[in-house]
Amino acid sequence: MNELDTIYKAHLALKEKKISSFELTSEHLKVAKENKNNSFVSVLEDAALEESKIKDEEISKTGAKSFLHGIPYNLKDLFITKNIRTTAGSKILYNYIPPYDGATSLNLKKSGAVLVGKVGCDEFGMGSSNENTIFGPVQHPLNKDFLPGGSSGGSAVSVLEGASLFSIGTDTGGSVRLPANFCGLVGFKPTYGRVSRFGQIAYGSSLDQAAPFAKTPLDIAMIMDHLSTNDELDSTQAPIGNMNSAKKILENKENSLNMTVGYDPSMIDACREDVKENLQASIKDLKSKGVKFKEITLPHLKYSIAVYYVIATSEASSNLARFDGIHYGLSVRESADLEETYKASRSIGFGDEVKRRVLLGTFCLSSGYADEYYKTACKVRRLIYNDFQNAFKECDYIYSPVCATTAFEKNKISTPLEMYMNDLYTIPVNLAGLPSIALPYGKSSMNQMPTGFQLIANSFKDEELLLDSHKIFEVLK
Amino acid sequence: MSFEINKELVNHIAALARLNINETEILEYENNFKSIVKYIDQLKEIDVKDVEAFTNPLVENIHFYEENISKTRKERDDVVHKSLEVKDVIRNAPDSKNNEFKLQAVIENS
Repeated sequence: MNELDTIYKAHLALKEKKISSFELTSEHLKVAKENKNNSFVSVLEDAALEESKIKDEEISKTGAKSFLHGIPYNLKDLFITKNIRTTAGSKILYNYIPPYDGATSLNLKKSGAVLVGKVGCDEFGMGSSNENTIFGPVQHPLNKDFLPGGSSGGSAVSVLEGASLFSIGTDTGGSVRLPANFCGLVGFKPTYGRVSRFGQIAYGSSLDQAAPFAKTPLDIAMIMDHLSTNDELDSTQAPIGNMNSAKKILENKENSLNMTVGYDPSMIDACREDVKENLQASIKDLKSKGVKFKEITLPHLKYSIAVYYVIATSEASSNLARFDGIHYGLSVRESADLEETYKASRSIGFGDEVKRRVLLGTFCLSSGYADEYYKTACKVRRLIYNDFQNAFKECDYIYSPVCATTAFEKNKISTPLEMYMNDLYTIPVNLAGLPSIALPYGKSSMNQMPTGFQLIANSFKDEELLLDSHKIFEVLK
Repeated sequence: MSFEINKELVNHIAALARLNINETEILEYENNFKSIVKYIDQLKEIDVKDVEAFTNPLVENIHFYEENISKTRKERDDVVHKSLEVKDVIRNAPDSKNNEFKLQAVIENS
């Protein structure tokens, strides 16, 4: 069973009738139900087993229709799923059962994959540690005193512990790449507009993207080929059709790493000693395999966190205005005053970090401060975007740390601002709308936790990035 | 800073955001805000006089992919699609009557 630890291996075994989807799903459900690390919010045992039997029939009749056919997976509880409770990790949506499927859920239904459950996350995706949730923090499977990172912590842990072969999280400022990095997995944030956001509970609309977790870049490609379907219900999706990256990777015969990778040495120097050691080793390793490295500068990236916390919170304050205690979700009606119902429902329904971000965003957009904060941040965002565009004139990809540290221990970070700093290296990518993949490389000499790096490509180079990441992943193995 | 973050400002923002916050929270948010706003004030050191605001990456990146799609792409056709069933939507309503959302009186009886 354990040797079928990737989508591709499981797919081949299903095709060769060495295992059934029912058996594969049952094994993963067992781990999900045990829920040792608190990664699952809902386990859909009966529905998943039923589905897996249907997939087995389909596969025996007509063969596997896709790489995901019969493969067990889960979704971050931020994706709308028809008739399946969707909480966003929030008290305000604790009992919310959506009447429709979002694009992510629908695309994966069509792929033939089997949904085993919904997994935990920071409330509305707001957090870097997976501690801001009514369901309690998700534990790191490698060490129970450590956190897996957030906000898509449940997704990362569910794949690492063997409760699913893949998971879809959301990446607004690094919420997929950070936990992937902390858990030694592969996490991929697509170009902004490459996947539909329809039915993904919104946090920062100009930053959010659905983003997969898996164990290899090839598995990520197999997932992305299904997520990249055109969706006329999202006007911010580029209507350029599905990617076909898995086939390209499997048919590729050219394995040389003929590419130029830009990097800013000061970003690596700023990392903690154990992380720095491994980053430098990975560069040396890649150079020895033929990758050309070139020094670049990205002078405005140091403003990324400031820009992000103005823009993301402004967008959040607007997006979360929909929670009113009237249409759906928690309603606290203690007075005859409608205004009081709004206030009481939101105050009791939202957690501390969500309130903090809604308040900060409201402030940044409020009359008198909008020019000073929101507009200035939007302008600096362009300078960050321009830095990347200038860099891509000299290189194919940009190499960067994912985080200056490894996974951290519980209750180690005390102030909001200190927590926000974890996303220093992931946030610029979301601000510029670029695709980026977090790849694992080595373990820390300090605490034995996983380390890794990210490779960033220019917009809509998602397929090229996945193909080259696959080659890199294979030679670094 | 051209203004002061104090209790009154936090209360004003909370009212705009339709949130009730108690005395302890006001103090906590006031302190959080002071350090966060001090941090984001670094943006003011950058000269952005001639820089245009960047609002959505797709708008900026359109030249990367537009050759792949029809240049004559229009808005989608104005065709009526089937909507969700009212009873399915209302199922999540905290209070409803005759398939409509029920809320407190907005206009008082005269």
